[in-house]
Amino acid sequence: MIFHSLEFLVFFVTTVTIYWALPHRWQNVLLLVASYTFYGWVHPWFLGLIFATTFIDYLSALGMGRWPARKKLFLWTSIVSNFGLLGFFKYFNFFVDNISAVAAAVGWHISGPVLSVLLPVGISFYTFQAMSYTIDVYWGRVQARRTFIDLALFVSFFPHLVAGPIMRARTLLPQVEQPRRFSANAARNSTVLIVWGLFKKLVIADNVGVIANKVFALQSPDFFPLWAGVFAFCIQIYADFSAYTDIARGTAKWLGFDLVVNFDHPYLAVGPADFWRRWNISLTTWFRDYVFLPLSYALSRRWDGIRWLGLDDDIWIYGTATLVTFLLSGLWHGASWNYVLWGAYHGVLLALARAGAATWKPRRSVRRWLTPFRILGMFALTNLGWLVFRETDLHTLVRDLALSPFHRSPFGRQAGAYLFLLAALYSLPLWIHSLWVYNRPAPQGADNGPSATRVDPIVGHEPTLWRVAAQTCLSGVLFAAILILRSRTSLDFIYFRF
Amino acid sequence: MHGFALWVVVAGTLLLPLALRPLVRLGPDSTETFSYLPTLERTRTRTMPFDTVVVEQLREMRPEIVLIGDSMGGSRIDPTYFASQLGNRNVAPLFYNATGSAFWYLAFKNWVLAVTPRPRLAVFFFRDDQLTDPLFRVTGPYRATLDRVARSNEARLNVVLATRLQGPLYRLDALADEVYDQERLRQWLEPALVNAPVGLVARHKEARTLLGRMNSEIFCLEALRSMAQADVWQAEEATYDFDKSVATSVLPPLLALGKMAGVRMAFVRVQRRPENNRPPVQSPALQRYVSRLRGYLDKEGAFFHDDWGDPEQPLSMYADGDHLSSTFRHRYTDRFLQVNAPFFR
Repeated sequence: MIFHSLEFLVFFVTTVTIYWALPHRWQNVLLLVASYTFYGWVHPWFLGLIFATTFIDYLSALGMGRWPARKKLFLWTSIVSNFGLLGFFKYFNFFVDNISAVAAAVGWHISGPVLSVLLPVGISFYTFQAMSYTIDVYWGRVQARRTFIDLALFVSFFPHLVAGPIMRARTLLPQVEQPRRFSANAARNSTVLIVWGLFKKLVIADNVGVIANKVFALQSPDFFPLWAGVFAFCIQIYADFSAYTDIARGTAKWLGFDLVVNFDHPYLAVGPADFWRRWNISLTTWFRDYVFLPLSYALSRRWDGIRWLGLDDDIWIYGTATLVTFLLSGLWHGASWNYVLWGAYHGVLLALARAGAATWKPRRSVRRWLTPFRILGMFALTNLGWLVFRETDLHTLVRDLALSPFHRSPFGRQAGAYLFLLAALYSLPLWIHSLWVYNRPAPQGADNGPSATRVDPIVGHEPTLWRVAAQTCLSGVLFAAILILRSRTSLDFIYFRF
Repeated sequence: MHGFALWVVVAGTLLLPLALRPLVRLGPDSTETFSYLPTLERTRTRTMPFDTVVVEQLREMRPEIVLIGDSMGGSRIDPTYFASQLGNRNVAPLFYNATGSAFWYLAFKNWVLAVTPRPRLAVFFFRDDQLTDPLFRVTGPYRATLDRVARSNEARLNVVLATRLQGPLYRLDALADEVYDQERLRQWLEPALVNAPVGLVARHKEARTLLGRMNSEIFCLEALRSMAQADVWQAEEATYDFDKSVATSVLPPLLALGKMAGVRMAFVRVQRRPENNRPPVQSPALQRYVSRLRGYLDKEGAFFHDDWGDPEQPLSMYADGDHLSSTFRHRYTDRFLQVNAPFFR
C-alpha cells in the first residue's frame, strides 16, 4: 500500500478511528495487524520475511539477557540472519554477476544462478532498525523485551516501515510501551505536514521525475540536457524522500507517536559534513553509531600517534573510517557499483573537507561572507554525486562525466535551459520553504550558523489565531495545487527500491 | 481550543479548493462534450465519429467468424484464404493497427454484437499480456483510435480503466472531480505551466516549435537506450501477475458479452520474434502468467491457442519486430487451421 492512494486514505482513517477507541494494549495489537496489512497488501509473502526477522531478533535479545556469557553468540546469530536475508534478496544476483565477471576475466566461463524474485520493499530499512535493537541490547543500552507484540510493532510500525526514518529501539520502543494520548494540537500540525508531504511527492517529485526519467532514458544525452536532468533528479530525490518522511511523521503523530526528523534542508548545506547532518539523518546516524564510531575506536587503538604523509593520526583514522562507512552506506542503497562509487565519492569529499578544515581556518566574518558560495559549491558537488547515484551503467557514467560544455549546438543549450527552468519552476515551493526556514531566527542559545535547527513554520506549535489561519490557508492551497498540478505519471517513492 | 483548531484546519483544507470552480471560467472557453471515458479525460472532442460503416458492412456480410486484433493478426492470417480453407464460410477481419484490448472489446461490443444474426465465433489475436492490460494503446497518440469504435457512453470500459488506474476506490476520485471541478482547470493550466519556460529560452519564432523539436530530435525513439534484460525481468514479475490484473481488465466483460450473445470465443497468443532462431525466452513470471490465462479461459469455456514454441514459425518467417512477412500469411493460416483442426471443424 502506498501513501498517495485512496486505499491508504480509507485504511488510515479506519485505523485511526478504531485505534483511539481502544485501550493501550489493544491499540498495539490493532497497529500490528494494520502494519502487517499495509506491508503485505500487494505481496503477502513479504510478511514471512519481516516476521522471521522480528522473531529471530526477539529470541536473540532474550537469549542475551538470559545467558550473558553467550551474548556474542546471540548477537552474531542476529547479525548473520538479518544480513543473510538482506544479502540473499538484495545482493545475491550482484555477487553472482561479479563472481562470474571476475572468473571470466581470468578465463573461466561460469554462469551462476539468477534469482528471479522481487526485492521485498523496505527490507533495508526494517533490517537496520531490527539490527539496532539487538546491538543495543548487546551493548546494554536497551533491555531485551519480553512482549513479542511490542517488538513486532517496533519493527513493522506502518508509517515508517517502507522508507524510514529508521528509528532506534530506545526512542520508539518506549513510545510503543507507554500509553498514548490523542493530541489535537499534534494532529493539527501533522495534517499540514501530511498535505505538504503529498504536495512534495505528487506535484514536485513526480513532475520533475518525468524530466529526469526522460533524460536518463537517452542513449547519449547532450551536455546541457544531461545536467538539467541531473538537476531534476536532485530535486526529485529530495522532494520524494522528504515527502515520504513528512507523511510518515504526520501519520505517526495522528497515532500518538513521534518519529525523528530525517531532513533538514540539505541543499542549504555549506559542506559535506553539514550535508550529512541534514540528509537522511536517521540512516546517517545509524551508520555513525554502529559502523563509524566502533571502527574509529578500533583504528585509534592501532594507529595512535602515527604520522603519514605529513598528516596526523586523527586525519587518517577519520578518513579511513569515513570511507569505509560511506562505501557501506553506498552499498546499502543498492546492489550496483554506482552506489558504491557514490558512497566512495561522499567519503572522499568528507575526508578532503576534514583535511582542508585542519589546514585552513578562516575568520568568522570571512566564513559568513563565504556562506552563499559554500552553499552553491556544495550544491554543485551534490549534483555530481546524484549523477553517479542515478546512472547505473558505468560506461555511460564515464561518457557523461567526459562531456564538455563547449561547442554544443544552440538547440541543445535551449533544450537544457528549458528542462532546467521547468524543474526549477516546479521546485520553487521547496526553495521558498528552505529559505524561509533558513532566515528564521534560531532558537535561543543555538548556534547562528546555517545548521542551527530552526522552528519550521509549516509545523508550528500552539494554536494561535494567526497560526491556525495561516496553516488553514497553506494546507488548502497545497491541496488545491495537488488537485490541479499533480503529475499524470505516478512514480513510486524512490527509496522503496532500497 | 486545540480540538476546534484541528477541525478548522481539516475543514479549511477540504473547502478552500472549492475556489477552483470559479477559476475555470478564467480559462479558454470550453464547449467540448463530456468524454465517454471520464477516467482518461473529463471532456473530449472526438477526432472521428463512431464508425457506422463497419456495422453496415458486417450487417451485409453476416459473418460466421470474426477475427479481431491488431497488425499481429493482420500479418498472420489471410482472411480470404482462411475462409476458403473452411469451405467458404463468411469471415470478417477486424484487424486494426496499433490497437489493444480496450479497442477489441469495444469493436466486439459495438460493431460485432450490433448486427444480427450474431457470428458463431470470434477469434482474438494478441501478444503476451495484452488481454489483461486495458491501458495498452489507450493513451497518448493511440487515444484517438478509440473514438472510431466507442459510443457516447462506455461505462463498463471506464470502470475497468478507472479501477486499473486508481484502484477499487476510483469513485472517490470521480467524486473529487465532481466537487472541485479540477480537471477542466487542469486542462489549460497544465500546458500553460509546461510552456511557461519556453519564452525564456527561445525567441518567438523558435519558441513555437521548441517542444516539438525536443520530442522529435532529442527524445525520439531512436535516441532511447535499450533496457537491460535484468531490469525487464524485474518489471515483468510485477506486470505478469494474472490473478491481480485480470479483475481490472476487459477480459471478464468480453467473455460475459460472448456468453450472453451466444458467440464462441477463441484467443490466440501469437509468438513474438524468435531469438537466435529459437522461440523467444520467456521469464518464469510470463510462463506462470500464460499458464494461469489458459486455466482461466478453459474455465470460462473459451478456446485458447498458444503459438509460442511452434517449430513451424522460424525467424525466417518474420519481417520487422513481431510481424510475419506477408508472403507467409498462407503458410501461417494453413498451420493455424491444421493445429486447431478439431476446433474449426
